[in-house]
Amino acid sequence: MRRAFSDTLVEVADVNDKMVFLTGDLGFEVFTELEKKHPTKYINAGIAEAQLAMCATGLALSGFRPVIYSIASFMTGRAFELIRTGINYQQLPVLIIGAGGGYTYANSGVTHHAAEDLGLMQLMPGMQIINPGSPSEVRELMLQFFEQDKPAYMRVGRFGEPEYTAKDPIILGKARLVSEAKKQVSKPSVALLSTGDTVISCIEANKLLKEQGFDVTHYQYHSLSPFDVKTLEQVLSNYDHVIVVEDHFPIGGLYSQVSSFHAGSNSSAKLTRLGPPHELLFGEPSIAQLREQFSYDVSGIVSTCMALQR
Amino acid sequence: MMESGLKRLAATWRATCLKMSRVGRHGHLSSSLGYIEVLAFLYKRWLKLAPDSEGPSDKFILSKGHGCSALYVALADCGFIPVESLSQYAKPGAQLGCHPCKHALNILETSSGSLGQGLGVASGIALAQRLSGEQSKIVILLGDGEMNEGSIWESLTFIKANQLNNIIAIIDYNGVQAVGNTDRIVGGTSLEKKIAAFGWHTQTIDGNDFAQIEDAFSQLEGVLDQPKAIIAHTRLGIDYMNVESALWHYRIPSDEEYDSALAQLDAEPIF
Repeated sequence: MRRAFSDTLVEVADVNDKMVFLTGDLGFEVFTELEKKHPTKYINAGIAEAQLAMCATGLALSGFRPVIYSIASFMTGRAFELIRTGINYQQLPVLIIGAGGGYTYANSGVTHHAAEDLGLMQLMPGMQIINPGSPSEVRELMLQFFEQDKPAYMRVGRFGEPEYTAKDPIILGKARLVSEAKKQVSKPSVALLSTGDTVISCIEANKLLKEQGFDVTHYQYHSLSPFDVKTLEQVLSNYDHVIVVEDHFPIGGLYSQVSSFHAGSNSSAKLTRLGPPHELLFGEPSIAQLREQFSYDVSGIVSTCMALQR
Repeated sequence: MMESGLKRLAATWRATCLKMSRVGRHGHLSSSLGYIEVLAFLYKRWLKLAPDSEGPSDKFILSKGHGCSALYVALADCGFIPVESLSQYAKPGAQLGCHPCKHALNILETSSGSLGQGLGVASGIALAQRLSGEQSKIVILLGDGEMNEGSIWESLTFIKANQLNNIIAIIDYNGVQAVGNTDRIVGGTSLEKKIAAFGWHTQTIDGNDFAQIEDAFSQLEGVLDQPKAIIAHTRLGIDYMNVESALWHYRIPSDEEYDSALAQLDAEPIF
């Protein structure tokens, strides 16, 4: 996704002379092409996240379309109030990028954990929240961001995530149907809801489940705001169990959105959440260990679904 | 000659701020009164307030947003907003809020009210101008208390490193913060030396003295290769009220104080 992000930046800069990219001294050899091709549009502002947000505010007030970039924990947490006051209060079209959201940097320790990034940004009314799960989602959603004029926060994962195919196109604010279970095949009926890169684990899990005769439906929520309530409404009325798989605290991410909507609905669907707990995670585990420990890896998703069958 | 006209104007603007504080039942009076001379010089003599064939209009950003009643008076007196709107200052739903809001008053360069951000926003405006191939003066008025904020020092560095030399920061050094004395809170160092150490051209003046203000700004015209800062030592402008100045961050003048202040100013509000 990181490569798709830098490639799309160049693609946008080629056609949109208002795009300016500011990095908080991160992205070693990731933005070389942008810097080479559009040297005035690449600015290393130094390790100064507040300055990134304030400078983007001034640029956007002057008609530019800034993109600001740092590690998710610093970009959202360190600069929160500057984003809130400068960018969001004034509803300026700045794209705020958090590299390595969630537990992408799990083994770098708590300083680099960003399991609250989506929540922090989502607390601000008017801020769009984008959590792509594949290189194509990064590209498409970025291009769509530049077609409108509101602020957005986007998580960008690491390098090398695979592409996947889905039945629905990639549209900002709309959930994507990745695969649909054949009707009445499996009891109870189950829908998996993924966000960000948990889409990949859900696809793998779904394959394994199918091999065992358990067919589940899978939607990807790459946008948490605007939130696709219409699709959720259908999911909650059509399925017995809805399983949310997220790399975020249970507060402020996809589960928050789903559970608060569910609480106000007449749905009898049972909700399950797979993801990290609302706890400080010491000991610098690897992301794979964490996902296994809290059952949001492939085998955790499979066993959670199989347990429902009994 | 120029001075006596501006002095009269400053007295009138002060009287207007005093009345606004009373009709809007809002404090932060001292935060406005101290920098009136600087503001009057900028708005009446120095800033290019409309775009012309040589480029865009100059920009003024009030970073210390709480001191906005003076800015509203300047905008009204220069014809940018109706004079009558001053009577609505700080009232519910008013265009002229107690912290400037761009949604309500679009002619502002930016909303402000949270400290330490005006300089960073200015850096973005200056960068946008460079990318667009145009340039104007960009003046930011900051409070001395506001200089406590770390974000300011990120911006000072960035502006110097990127040679955004059309930026002029004015620090309204009135010596008083919300609940304390600036020099006591962050004392032991010289603001001028600190800013100079960041590579900025700096000057320290008496910010209530028009001759010194004019002299400082004329010197700036010759400084092309550095961003510029003027540390303007100001008095809260309410000396004539005989009260402890720190109180005036929050207080609203009483009938007697108001009458007495207007008499000593020998001026009337513009609304």
